[in-house]
Amino acid sequence: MKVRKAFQSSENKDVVRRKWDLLLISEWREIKAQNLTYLGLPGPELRDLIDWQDYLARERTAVEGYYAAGKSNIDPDIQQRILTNAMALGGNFSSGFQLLRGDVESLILTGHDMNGAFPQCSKSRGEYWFYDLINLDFCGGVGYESKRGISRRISALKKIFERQCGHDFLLLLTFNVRSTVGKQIEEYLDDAQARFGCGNPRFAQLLNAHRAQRGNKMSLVLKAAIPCIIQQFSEPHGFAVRCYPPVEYTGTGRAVLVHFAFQCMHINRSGFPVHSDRFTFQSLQEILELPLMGIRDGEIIALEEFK
Amino acid sequence: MREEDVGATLISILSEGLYTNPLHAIREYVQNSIDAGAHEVIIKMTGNTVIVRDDGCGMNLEELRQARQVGISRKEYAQFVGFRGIGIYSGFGLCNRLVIVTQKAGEDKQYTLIFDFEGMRRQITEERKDRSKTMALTELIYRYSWFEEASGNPTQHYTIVHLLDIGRPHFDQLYNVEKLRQYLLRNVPVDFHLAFPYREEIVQQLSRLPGYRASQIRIQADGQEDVLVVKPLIPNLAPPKTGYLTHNNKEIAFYWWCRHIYPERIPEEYASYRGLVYKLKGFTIGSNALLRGYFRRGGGILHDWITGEIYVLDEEIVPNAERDDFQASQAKEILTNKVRELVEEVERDVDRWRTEVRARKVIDTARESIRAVQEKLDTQEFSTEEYWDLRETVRSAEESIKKQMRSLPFPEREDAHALKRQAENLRERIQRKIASVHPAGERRGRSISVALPSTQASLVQTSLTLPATEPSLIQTIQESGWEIPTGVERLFTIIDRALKELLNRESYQNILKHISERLEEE
Repeated sequence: MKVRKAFQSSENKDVVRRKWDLLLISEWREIKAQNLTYLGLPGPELRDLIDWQDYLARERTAVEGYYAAGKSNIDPDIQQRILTNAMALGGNFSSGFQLLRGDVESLILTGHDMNGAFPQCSKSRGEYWFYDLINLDFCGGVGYESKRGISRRISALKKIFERQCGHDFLLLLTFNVRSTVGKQIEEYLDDAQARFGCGNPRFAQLLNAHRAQRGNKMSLVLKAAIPCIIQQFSEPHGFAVRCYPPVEYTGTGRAVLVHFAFQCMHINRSGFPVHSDRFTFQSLQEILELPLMGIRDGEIIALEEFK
Repeated sequence: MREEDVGATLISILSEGLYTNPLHAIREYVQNSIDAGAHEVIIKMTGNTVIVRDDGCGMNLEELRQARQVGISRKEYAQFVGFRGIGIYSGFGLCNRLVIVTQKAGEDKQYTLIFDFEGMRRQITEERKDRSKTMALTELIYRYSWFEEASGNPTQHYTIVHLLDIGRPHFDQLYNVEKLRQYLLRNVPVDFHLAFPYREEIVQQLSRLPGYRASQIRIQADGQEDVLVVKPLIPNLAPPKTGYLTHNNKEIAFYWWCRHIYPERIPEEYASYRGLVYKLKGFTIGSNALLRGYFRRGGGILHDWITGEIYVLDEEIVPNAERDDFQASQAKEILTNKVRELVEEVERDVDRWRTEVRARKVIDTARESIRAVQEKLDTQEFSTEEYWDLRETVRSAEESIKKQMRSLPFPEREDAHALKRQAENLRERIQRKIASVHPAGERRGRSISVALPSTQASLVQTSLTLPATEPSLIQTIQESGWEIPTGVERLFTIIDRALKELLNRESYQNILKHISERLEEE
C-alpha cells in the first residue's frame, strides 16, 4: 500500500506567511473593512487559507496545475488532496472554496481554467475579476520565455491588472531567483534606466547597484525589476501601487526565493500617464531604497539597506 | 463457481443499469453517509468534481476493503437503506476516478481507496471488441483500484467521496442545485430545519424507529450560496400529534402531524408539504397526492391545513420500483385502512378545533354587540322603534351565543353561559322600557344603527340593522365549517341573490336552514 506524506512547507516560508504576510493582510483587511476574497496557489496543504482564515472571506479560489506540452494540466492526486484537505476541515471551510484546474498563467490569460470554469469572483465570463487578495506563489522564476521571447508569467502579471481593473487588491508574488531574468526583464530595467536615470543620478546609482549583483545576488536584481514591471503594468489600468520591502528566503531544496507585496488601489479608470517616474505612493527611487528583508532565527529582519 | 466465472462486464451492467440518472449515484453516496450515522452531509460541486463529505463514523482499512466488494453488504435490511453492496460503484458511469478518503475516530491512519473507473471502462470496451481479452470481475477491480494510507487525526471521523472528472452532460445535470435539492428532499432521509420548534419532540420519537436516520445536507456549488437541504420551516404550526398505527398489537406505522395555528391553509410555498405523506426508512413514497383523497370533510379542504408524515414500519410493506406507491399486498391493504381511520381522526380533531375557533369568534362579536347596547341604554333614551331594534340586536346575540356555546370546551362554555344570562337580562330591561313607553308593545317602523367606537363597529352595526338574524347563503356555508375558495364567492353571491328574488322570505330561510343542516351532517 502506498503511503502518502503531507507536502512539506519550508520553515522560512511559514515565517513569511505567518509573520510578514499576515501583518500586511490584516492591515489590508482593515483598509477594506471586510474580509478578503482570495485567489491563489495555496498548495495541497492549503496553508495560506488556514493561516489567514480569520481575515479571509467565504469566497476563496485555489488554483492548481502546471503547464506542459503547450497546455494546462493537473495532477489528479494533488487535485484530490487539495479537495480532501478542504473538505476535512469541515463545512464552513469548504463553503465558498473553489478549485480551478490548470496553470495560473493560463487562467489569468484566458479568464477560465482548463475545464472552462470561471473564477467565482468574476463577471462577464471571467473577463473582470474582483478578488481582494491575490497570492501567486510561483515555484519558478519570472522570466521563462516562449519561443517568441515572451515570458508567459510576465504576460500574466500584466493581464492581472486588466482583469482586476476597478477593484483594489493586495498582490503577493514569490519568485525563484533561478531562471529569473530573461531578455524581457533586462529590457524593462534598461527602459527604466533610460527614462529616469538621466535626470536622477541617485536613481541611476541605485539601479546600477542592484543590477550589478547579477550572477552574485540575484535577489537584488529581482528587487529592482519586479517593481519596475508592476509599475508599468498597473498604472495604465488606473492603479496606484504601494510596494512593501521584498523578503528573501531559502525554501525547500535550498531554493532562494524573493517575496513581494503590492497594495494596488484603483484610483480611476482612465489611467495614469505611463512612464511617469513615480508610483502614486512612492517614486521608483524610493522603492529601490527599500531594504531587502530576510529571515534570521525565525524573525524577519533587514538584510540590506539602501538609504 | 470460480472467481473467473464472473466477468468484468458485470460491473458495467449492474451500475449503469441501476443508476441511469446521475442524481441516483449521488443519492447512493449520500445514503451511505446517512447509514454511517452522519449528522451533516456536504455535497460540494467544484469544477467538474462532486464531493460527498460526511461526519459519519468513517472506516478502518478492513471496512474499506469490505466496501470495495461487489454485492456483499453487512448492513441489515431493517436497519439500513443501502444493503445491496453495489452503491459504491454507482459513480462508475459518471466519473473517471472515484476516491474515497476515510478517517475513523481513534485511528491514527487515514485510508484512501481509489478507483480508476476510466481504466475499467476502457478495459471493458476492449473486451467487447476482442473477446479473447476477457477479465474476471475481481481482477478488474484489483487492477484498477488501490489503497493508500496517510497519517490521520484520531480525534476526527469522516468519509469523503470524490467523483473526479465527471463528464460535461452529467455535470450540467448535477449543477442544477434546486433540482438536486428537490431530488434529495424526496429520496433521502433529511432532517428537520434546526429552527423547527417541534424538531426535538418529533425526532426523539422518530429515533426510536428501526432504521431511522436523518441528516442535514448542505449543497455547496461554485459561485453560489450554500443550500441547506432540510425539511422546510413551515411557519405557524401548532404542536404535533404523534402516535402509532397498530394491527393485531403490532406497530405497522408511526405518524406525526401538525395543523396550522389559524384556520387556514399551509402557505402555497409549502404546498408539497400539505397533508400527509408516506415515509419508508426516511425516503418519501409517492407524494402528498397519494393520501389527498382520504380527506373528505369540507371537500377535502382540511388536507391543506395540516402537514405530517407516516413512517411505515411493517417490513411486509414494500415500495414499488418507482417508489410512488407500495406494492399491492394484504399488509398494504391493512395499512391503507388504518391510514383512512387516521385521516378521519385528524379531520375530526381539526374540525372540532375549527368549530371552537368559529364559536369564539361569534361569541366575541355577540359580546361586543351586548356591550354596545348596554352602553347606549345606560346613557341615552330611545323611541319605541329604536328600543325594538335594540331588543332585536340583543336577541340575535343571545341566539348566536346559545348556538355556539356548545362547541366550546368547559371553562369557556361557562363564560358563554354567563354572557347569555347577561343578554337575557338586557333584553328584559329593554322589554320593560318598551312597555313603559308603549304599553301595546307592537313592533313598527324601520331599523336604526348604533355607532360603536371600537374596531368591531362595522360588525356590530350590521347586527344592529334589521333584519339582523337573516344570514346569507355564504354565511350559512361558512358557519357550517366549509370554506369557499377565493373566486367562487361571487358565484355564490349571484346564486344567493337569485334565490332571494325567486323565493319568499320564509322559503328562503327554510332553504338556508336545510343547507346548513346538510352541511353540518357532512
